[in-house]
Amino acid sequence: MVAVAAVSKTSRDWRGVVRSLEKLLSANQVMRRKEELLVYECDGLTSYRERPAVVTLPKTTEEVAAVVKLCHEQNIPFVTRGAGTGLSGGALPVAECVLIVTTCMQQILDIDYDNQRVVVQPGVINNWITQAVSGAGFYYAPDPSSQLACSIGGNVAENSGGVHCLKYGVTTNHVLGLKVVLPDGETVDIGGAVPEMPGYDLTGIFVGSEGTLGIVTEVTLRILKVPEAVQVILADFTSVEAAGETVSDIISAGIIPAGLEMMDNFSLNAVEDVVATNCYPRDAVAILLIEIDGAAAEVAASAKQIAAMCYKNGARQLTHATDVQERLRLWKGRKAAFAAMGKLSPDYYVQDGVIPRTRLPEVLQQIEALGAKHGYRVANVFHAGDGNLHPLILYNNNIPGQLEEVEALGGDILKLCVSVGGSISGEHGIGADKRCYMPNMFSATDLETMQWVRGALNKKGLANPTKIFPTPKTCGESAQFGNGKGVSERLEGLENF
Amino acid sequence: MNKIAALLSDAIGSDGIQLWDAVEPRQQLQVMSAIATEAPPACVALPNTSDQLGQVMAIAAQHGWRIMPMGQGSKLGWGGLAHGIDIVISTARLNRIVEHAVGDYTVTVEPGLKITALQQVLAEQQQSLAIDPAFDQLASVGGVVATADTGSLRQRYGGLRDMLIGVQFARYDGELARAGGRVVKNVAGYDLMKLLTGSYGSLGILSELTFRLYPVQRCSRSLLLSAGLQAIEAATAEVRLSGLTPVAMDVVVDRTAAEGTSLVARFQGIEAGVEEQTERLKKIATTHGMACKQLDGEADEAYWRQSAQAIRADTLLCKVGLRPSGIPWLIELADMVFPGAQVRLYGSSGLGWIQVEIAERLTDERLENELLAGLAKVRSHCQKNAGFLTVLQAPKAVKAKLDVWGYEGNALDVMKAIKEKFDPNNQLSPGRFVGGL
Repeated sequence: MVAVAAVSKTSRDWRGVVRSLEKLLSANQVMRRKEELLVYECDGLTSYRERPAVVTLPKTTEEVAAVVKLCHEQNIPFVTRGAGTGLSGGALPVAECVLIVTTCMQQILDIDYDNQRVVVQPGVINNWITQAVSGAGFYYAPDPSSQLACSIGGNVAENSGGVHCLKYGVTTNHVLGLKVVLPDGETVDIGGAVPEMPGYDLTGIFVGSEGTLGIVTEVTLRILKVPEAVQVILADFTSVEAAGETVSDIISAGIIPAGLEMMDNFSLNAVEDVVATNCYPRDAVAILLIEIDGAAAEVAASAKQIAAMCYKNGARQLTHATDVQERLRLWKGRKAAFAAMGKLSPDYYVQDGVIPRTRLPEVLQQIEALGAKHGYRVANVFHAGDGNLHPLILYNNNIPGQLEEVEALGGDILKLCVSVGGSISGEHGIGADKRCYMPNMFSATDLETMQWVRGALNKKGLANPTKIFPTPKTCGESAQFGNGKGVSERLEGLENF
Repeated sequence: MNKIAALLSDAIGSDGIQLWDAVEPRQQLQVMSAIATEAPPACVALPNTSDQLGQVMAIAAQHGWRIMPMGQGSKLGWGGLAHGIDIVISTARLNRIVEHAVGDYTVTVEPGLKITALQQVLAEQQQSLAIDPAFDQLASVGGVVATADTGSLRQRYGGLRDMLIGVQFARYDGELARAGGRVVKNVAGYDLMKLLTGSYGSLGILSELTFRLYPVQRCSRSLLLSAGLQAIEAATAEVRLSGLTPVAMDVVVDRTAAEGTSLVARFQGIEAGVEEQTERLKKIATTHGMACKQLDGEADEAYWRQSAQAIRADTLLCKVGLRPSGIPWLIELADMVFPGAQVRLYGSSGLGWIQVEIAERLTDERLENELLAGLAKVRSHCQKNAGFLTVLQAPKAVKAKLDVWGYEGNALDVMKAIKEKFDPNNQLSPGRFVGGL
């Protein structure tokens, strides 16, 4: 795949467009200078870059609508970007586009404790919500590792998860309603303050649609009461099977931990090298981090049960933490796992496959074998409770050919996930990164049907074009469909999107 | 045999086609309760496989026949009235469990499977699909998804939308399309599961569904707190803002029950947790001077079994939703407008239902007008509290006189655009959904 797409020269009068945009917004909300645009060339997936023609920074729904309407009228493709922390290239600009950045939309518009709802603008950082409501004993549950930097708008676009979604669900389970600017510039309110409003569940289809159906400008979220008691247990194992078995035992016993994470030897050592938490035993083959929460007596009793299961499966030692500082210390390494890889290696490539939880040990073996075959080491950190793997492949982008090799390895891992009945993305989204693997998971009919939704809302195909769905232009020969039926015509039909 | 039945039986065999006259009278009534016109459909098609389902859809598309899907038929009377249905497609024979991945807590089933049959199989592994729909003894999996129908368990587990992780459905043109998958966490592609949940058969016909499951909890206990509405309001608000984690928390108005109006909270989990939480709720009850009845084991089971039977097919039934803080007012208003009505509202989502006896009202035009005026008042209160009132079930004459859905938003054009893509010839349950879709 081409990492940096060639900038196509068009005859569009960008000066005119900028003048129009500056009339709609103020001049400092429109950026056109090359050095200003540099930072917007990529999101968290830095191996793909493309410079937008113009960057806009609207502050209100009306301003977003005005920019989108202009794009609609002048047939200019537009891409939406939040904090730019996404890992699938969902906010990667396309050539000659207007980039609409929501980072100036940072207001928490309403907090309603009685009904446990908040309304926020999309640029609000995930963690700010918890900060804003924690005084009253509430929090916002979905917590991506990037929660100190990522924005709610981006979370909505990618349907982000986090370590606590095993028990509490991912973003889509917490969004009640949205204000959305549609790709033609019209503004609609979908969902609301109450779930299951009459009509199609448009909120459900918008969350996770990666900016291809419109731009979210207000989000109504559920907030939860902070649990009374929380305990984190760190258990170390001498085999992945034993750790995997423990995960199954915990779930089968009817306990749903708030978080249930696994790290392998490579990743826990990487973390210790870089952050030195001094709590992960370096000789462990795998560690489990198990967080349970709820009423105090329940947590204490579950902890006892879990400890027994860990020992039964051969855990060498257990560390329990109930105090906030201690808990954070145990989590620190896990939350810093990606960053640690970044320090160990010039570049890393992270995947986001999902497998049925019970297939964990065999899949890990196969990932190791794939790594050996391609000549790269793969570190594994994952949400073991829901089978969401994050294999991290270390490489050096300055060595020609490495990125392509690493992408091929990542692709093989994704195909492995699909072959055991899993998915190519659990929480990062498809974006630009994984669109060419969609045919491994879905038939041409499946993708065509999803495109019906896109066609209904994004009629001109201007909203985040080329993302999610494979096209001959973006994926070429690699877009091979399993059932082959009428594939080429269908892909041609999708070219506009 | 009529032309439609003949063409269909050529495709899927005469065994798969039931002429209208041969349809059981009970089922005929169910079907007719969903159709505006007096003319019955030509036949009921009963495909044996999803491929046959696709074939029937494809033939219907070629001929422009209008289709209405049905599962076990228990909720066909819910929603708007369809126009000019030519054939009913029953999923009753699509009733297999495709895969129960026990260790992964997921199950893949066909839509015609009865909920009771599914729960029985899951219970053998101490698992369950965490829903408590109306007509639970009859309801099919597909019907429950098409109507997004679950009850008190929403408090802990959310709605059907939160449990449906994968779907296959037959499109209007007969092709089978999938979305989602069989793993609990998955963001690949658009979430068509949510689009189809609660779409009342207006976008396609479900042919396979995958759900996430939950473990059956060992210990279960409920507390029934009763007192005046003010105390119930205060206690409900306190529970909402407490760290208590009931699996169900309902405000219930039932004149036939000893408690009259009550707050019911159910706790499940390990014994120590249940004990601790119920003790705390008892303290809250005492603070507000409420009577408190504890239901353990069989009594707890019996209470919820009985609650599940509260919704009847011969009443006027409304699904409502509003900000939970508006619940007390709604109860007062419902009591004023519909004295004797049963009400159950789920304390934290603000969803729930109101059930009104209507037998006598129907013979009297004045009473019928009062009923319509009453509905308008209650709907207006719900809407003022950011919610809605949908008339799920009512005599056809009543439904014909009102907008059953009560959609007030500004996104109807978006819904229409989606409907046009999924059903370009307007063949799938036309007229049944919001805005006459």
